[in-house]
Amino acid sequence: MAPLGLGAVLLVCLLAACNGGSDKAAAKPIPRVGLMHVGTDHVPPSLDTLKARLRQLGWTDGSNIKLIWRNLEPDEAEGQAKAFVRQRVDVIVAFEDQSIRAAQAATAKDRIPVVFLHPSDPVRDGLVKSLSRPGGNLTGIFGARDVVAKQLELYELLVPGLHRVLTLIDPNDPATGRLLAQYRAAASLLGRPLELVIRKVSTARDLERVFRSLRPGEVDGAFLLSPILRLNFSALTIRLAAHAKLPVQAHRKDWVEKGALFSYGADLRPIGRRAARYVDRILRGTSPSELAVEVVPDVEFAINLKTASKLGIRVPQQMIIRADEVYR
Amino acid sequence: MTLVAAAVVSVGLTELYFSYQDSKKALTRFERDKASSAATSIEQLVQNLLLELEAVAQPTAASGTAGLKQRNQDFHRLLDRDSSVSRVSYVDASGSEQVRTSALETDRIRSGTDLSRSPKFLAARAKHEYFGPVYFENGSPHLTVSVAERAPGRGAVVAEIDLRSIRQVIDRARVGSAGYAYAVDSRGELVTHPNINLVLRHTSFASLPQVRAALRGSGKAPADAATTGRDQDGTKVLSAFQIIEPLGWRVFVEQPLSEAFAPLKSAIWRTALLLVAFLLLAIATSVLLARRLVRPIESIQAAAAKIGSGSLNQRIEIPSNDELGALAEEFNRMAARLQESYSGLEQKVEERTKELGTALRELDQKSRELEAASRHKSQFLANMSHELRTPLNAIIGFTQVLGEKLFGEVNEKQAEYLGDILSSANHLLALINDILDLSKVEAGQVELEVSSFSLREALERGVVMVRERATNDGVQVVLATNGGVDLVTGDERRISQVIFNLLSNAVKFTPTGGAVGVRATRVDGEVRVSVTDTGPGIAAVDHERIFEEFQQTEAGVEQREGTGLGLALSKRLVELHGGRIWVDSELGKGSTFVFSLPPRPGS
Repeated sequence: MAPLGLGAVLLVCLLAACNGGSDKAAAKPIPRVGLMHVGTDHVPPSLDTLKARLRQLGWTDGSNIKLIWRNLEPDEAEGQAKAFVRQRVDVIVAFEDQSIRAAQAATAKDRIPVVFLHPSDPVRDGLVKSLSRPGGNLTGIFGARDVVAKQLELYELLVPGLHRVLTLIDPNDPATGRLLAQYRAAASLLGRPLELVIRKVSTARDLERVFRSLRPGEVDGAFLLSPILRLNFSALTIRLAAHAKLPVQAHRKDWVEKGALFSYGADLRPIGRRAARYVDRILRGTSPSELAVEVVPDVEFAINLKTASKLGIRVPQQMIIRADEVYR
Repeated sequence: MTLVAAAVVSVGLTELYFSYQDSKKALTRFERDKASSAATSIEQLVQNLLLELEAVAQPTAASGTAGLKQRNQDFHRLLDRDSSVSRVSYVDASGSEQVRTSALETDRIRSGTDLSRSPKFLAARAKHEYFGPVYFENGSPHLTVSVAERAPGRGAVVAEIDLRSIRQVIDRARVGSAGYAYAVDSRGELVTHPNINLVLRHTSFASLPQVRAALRGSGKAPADAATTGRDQDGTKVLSAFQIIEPLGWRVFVEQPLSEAFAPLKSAIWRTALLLVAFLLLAIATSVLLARRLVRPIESIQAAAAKIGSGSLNQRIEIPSNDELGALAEEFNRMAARLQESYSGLEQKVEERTKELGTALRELDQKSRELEAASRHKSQFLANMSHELRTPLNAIIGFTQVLGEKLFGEVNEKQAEYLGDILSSANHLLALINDILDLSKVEAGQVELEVSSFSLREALERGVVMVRERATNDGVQVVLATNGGVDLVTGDERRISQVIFNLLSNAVKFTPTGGAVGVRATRVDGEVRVSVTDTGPGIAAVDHERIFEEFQQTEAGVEQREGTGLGLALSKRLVELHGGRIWVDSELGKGSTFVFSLPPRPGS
């Protein structure tokens, strides 16, 4: 009789404890994640894969996690980052350099974790102390995005008649200087000497003016160098280049599909998938300073043969073989 | 119950121990198989890579720049095929880099980078193939693999491999849901791990005990014993490893002990539950047994004790139909029978006691009657003797008168008959006197007339009285006394009667030429008178008998003399004086009759 009574008491206690626990869990608000991206003319392909992977990891939007997606104009990034900090979101996910810089600045005091996707150069840009030991509130994933040297090399191989390249840069973009140096070095190493026609642009109007001002035969192709430009003006540049009967390079294949001659860069989908891991770990209590930055070296090479034929470019067969994707 | 519990517990524990050992062995074997297959997969991967590199290391058909460009194209194809290769170079025989092909950097033809002193080049040329140490580039672990060119140029192809691709291979080796596999290089640096963050952070596992042990074991296959180690968080794990031969790496397959032994844990719980159940069952059974067995036995014991202490009406009440009930019933029956026979016994004893009382009373009555009869007999005899003596005295008196011829002459014949009459009458008188005396003694009518008298004189008188007869029979009678026994206290007449009786018996039984000796002595204050003859003697069996009434020896019967009352009377008389009389005799050796008199008669 006594053991039975004791068991009953224990059981009641246990149930009470369980209830207490669940009450506590219920009392805790579901985590909120602010996702921001600058470039309203598109949605980064990594967003969908990130959401999908989060679901696989047990985070269902609206149920046990709240994802706040903000696609922004360049001048909105700073304000949105501050807004996320005010809202005390648990994690900010920044999809490109502008958002990353805004998030870094906004969280400097509050140390809200920031997960960045494909920054230009996280160590040099001061996002992390080192790739293996980020050491701050920022960490993330780092893909082969601005492989401008490689893009130029391929450009040269793809367009046999390429001699002068219209290079569009935004001097306001902090990445411009470094990328330009790589770009120039690559140009000097190529088998065929290329003339780089560099033009500074910051706005759509600047871009339109540059293209308008081009004399026929002045350049053989266009190249978007500064990340800020390809983020905001890829669509416009493709349109303007098509109008000027010039090929243009792109940083990912989506733009090739929309008319760019070729792209060479990271496949963003797996990057989004891998980024989900960082969000998951941070929400489960790991400090971002402990999460090493992963570098995804995978690159995709896509060619649009339709664009090529429209422009009268004969793409060498071996380049078609090298391409991962060919749009005909 | 303790015994049952101990047995159940020990069986449970033994079973647990063996199943623990078995599962540990099985788990380790399973993990080792996994580790082996992971190691084999990685080796396969490396072999495939080597084949790829061998293919691009073939000498080119073209020479000069065209040949280098050809190589560049070949290298691009390799990069496309194998995404883990991040950079490939061709180094010529002098160690100068001629082609460098990369997915992210600009391709270089004739960069001229000097690798002539690098092991990437030297080792590849020396051993045909070379695997470098693991290094980190762009945050991820890399490995340099180089192979020597076959034939003409005798250069080498150097490839930088991103090791993250191994992860997919090694992930297949995981065990259970919490298990995982990882690989470390020969220094214990993590090469691949399911937690990519650990790899990216350049974690070294060299300090983990199982890794340290595995690195110490120089290359041979691991021992068969199960290894328990710890993961980077200190959690205990079951660990097995395998060596990846060409690289000198170790692949570990591990599983937290908590998960590995989860099935065992459930077995423990099951056993514990069973144990508790068995114990409860044992307790319940023993309680039941106590109720069913011990209590009836106790009550039987108590009842038996009560019955043993005398309360035979005690009964046991056990309302069960089993053996104990039967036992109790039998016990009750036994007690009932005991009670029954006990009361029967009492009754019988009572009856017998009563009968005995009756018999005693009857006996008393009888003895009183007998006593009266005896008294009457003695009275009768005394009276009778007296009455008989009176006419006998008349017969004797008249016979003597006739014999004295006072009233006329009698002839010879008459005189002879008168002599016979007188002799017979005297004998009869003596008989009657003896009977009278005896009956008086028995009837308690004899009063001793005690006085002090001279024993010597009494003895002399006795001798005188038998002398005539002795002389006639040719028997010599000798009297021997000493001065100490002259005066004695007693009834002189009765003592003289005893002396005469003994003397006359002696003379009577002593043949011609024999002798009779009379002696009086004092021994320890009492006087002893002995009469010794040289007669036929008396057998020992007759020593007592001759002192009873009408008892004679064979010699006595032959003599046809005496009444058979003399010694009986003598004995009564001596005993009346408080003395004793006895005989020392043997057949053929004569007899000595002795009587003693105490200093004070009757005391």
